Amino acid sequence: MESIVKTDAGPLCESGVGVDADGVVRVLGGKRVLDGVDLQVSARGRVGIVGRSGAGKSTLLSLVAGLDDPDGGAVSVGGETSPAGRLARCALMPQRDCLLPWRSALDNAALALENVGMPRGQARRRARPLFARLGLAGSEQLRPAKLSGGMRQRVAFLRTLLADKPVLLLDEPFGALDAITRAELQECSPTRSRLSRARCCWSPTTSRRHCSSASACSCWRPVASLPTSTWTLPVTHHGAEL
Amino acid sequence: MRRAWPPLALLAAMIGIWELIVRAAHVPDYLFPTPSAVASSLAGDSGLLGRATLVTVREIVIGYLFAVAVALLIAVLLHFSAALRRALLPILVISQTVPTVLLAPILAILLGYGIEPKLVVVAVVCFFPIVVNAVDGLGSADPELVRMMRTLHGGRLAIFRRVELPGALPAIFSGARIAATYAAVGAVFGEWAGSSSGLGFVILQAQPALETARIAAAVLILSALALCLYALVSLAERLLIPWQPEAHHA
Ligand SMILES: Nc1ncnc2c1ncn2[C@@H]1O[C@H](COP(=O)(O)OP(=O)(O)O)[C@@H](O)[C@H]1O
Ligand SMILES: [Mg+2]
Repeated sequence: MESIVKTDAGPLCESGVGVDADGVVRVLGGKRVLDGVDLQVSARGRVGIVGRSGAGKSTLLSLVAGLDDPDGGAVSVGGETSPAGRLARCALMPQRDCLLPWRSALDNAALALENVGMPRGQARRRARPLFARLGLAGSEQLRPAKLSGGMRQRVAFLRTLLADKPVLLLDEPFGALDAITRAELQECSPTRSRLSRARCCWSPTTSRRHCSSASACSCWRPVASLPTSTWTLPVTHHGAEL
Repeated sequence: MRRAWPPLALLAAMIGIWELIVRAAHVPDYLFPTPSAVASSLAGDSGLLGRATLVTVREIVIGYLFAVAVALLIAVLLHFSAALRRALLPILVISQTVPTVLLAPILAILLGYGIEPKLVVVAVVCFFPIVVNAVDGLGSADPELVRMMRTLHGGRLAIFRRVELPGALPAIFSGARIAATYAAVGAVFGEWAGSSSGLGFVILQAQPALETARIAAAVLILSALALCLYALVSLAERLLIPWQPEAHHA
């Protein structure tokens, strides 16, 4: 199956997009949440980030995504250091699913397509076939309030994939899935489920045990043969207190 | 419908007690009419009251819709421009301290004795709660939803259309429901400042003639009109915000 979504992000994907964090410092509320973080992820690479709760995993993802700027050091995504440049290359799946309560599951999944100006009917036709793939068939018309936590996370995941950005940042994407559903999603065949052209994929997780399951995102990508590396977020003074 | 029973039963009991007390104390009708006298005025003056009601309904409905349109337009402008918000919002608050009773005669001098000054008075009293609630609602979108939109190709306009505006609808309707209860009073103030028709005018004429029952009948109709407008706005709210939990509705 060919890549489903085409946006003007094409050339980016051809060149491949890597992520480079260099001595990143972020101070929040007077605390050094990130204190000199260095991390390189090659284009087509996948990294799971491990760190205890409050270690700064979500903070780091916001910085990479271009939603936030570091107080020290630099972040670049595909060579772009400006927040706007990073924002253009990254799709972030937030820790909280952040579905819009006034939209159906289908319209939530198709949000990024509508945001780039695609008519709603066409956006729905693109998103609809993916529901069955994630075990969501039949819930297309339901509002988020009627979905279980795990279903909501899967819709949020689809929404992130459909943005068709070269870098996927997944913040504990399958934390609310039960073990059975999670295992089912991991069994997706890599060849049959090429949903996204994302080359670089990060998933913070709270434990190494979860990391293997969180890196399940590899099975939706054409580069399934690449090993998933695990990278532990250095514990700052602040993190050690927790 | 079941929740309509308690207030209806209480209302019936209060009307019954009112009738009994006024009759037992032999209060003359021109001082304080019994409910039955009000009812007979409603029936006997139905032609007069009906024509007046039509005039006032027109003032209420057009003035209210005018207020909603202007209030939403200004709220969106204030939402998009922090400078405008800083400059205009204090002035709007100050404008609310000018009593409508004083504003109405000035408007009558300016705009004449037609429907226009009444529409302006209705709009002025209804406008404020809608603007304030709409600006608050538009500004209180969940920042996490806005961040999510920004990483999904969401520009400023997309964020407004798909996150801020739908999220502000409950607040906008709260303001619109408060405003609905002001509209009838606004129309009466407008008519008192200068008119030759409408329920406010009927009240004004009945007063020197000591037709107290007719005044009470007009007031009763005005309350019913305000209640109808409130119910219509609540209905529109339920239709436009189907994702809102049912328990929220009053
Ligand atoms: N806006 C903020 N102001 C102050 N402290 C913050 C803010 N955001 C996050 N923090 C703190 O930064 C630390 C890291 O948060 P986060 O990145 O969400 O951790 P993780 O995702 O690893 O659990 C936490 O201790 C949190 O309390
Ligand atoms: Mg987190």
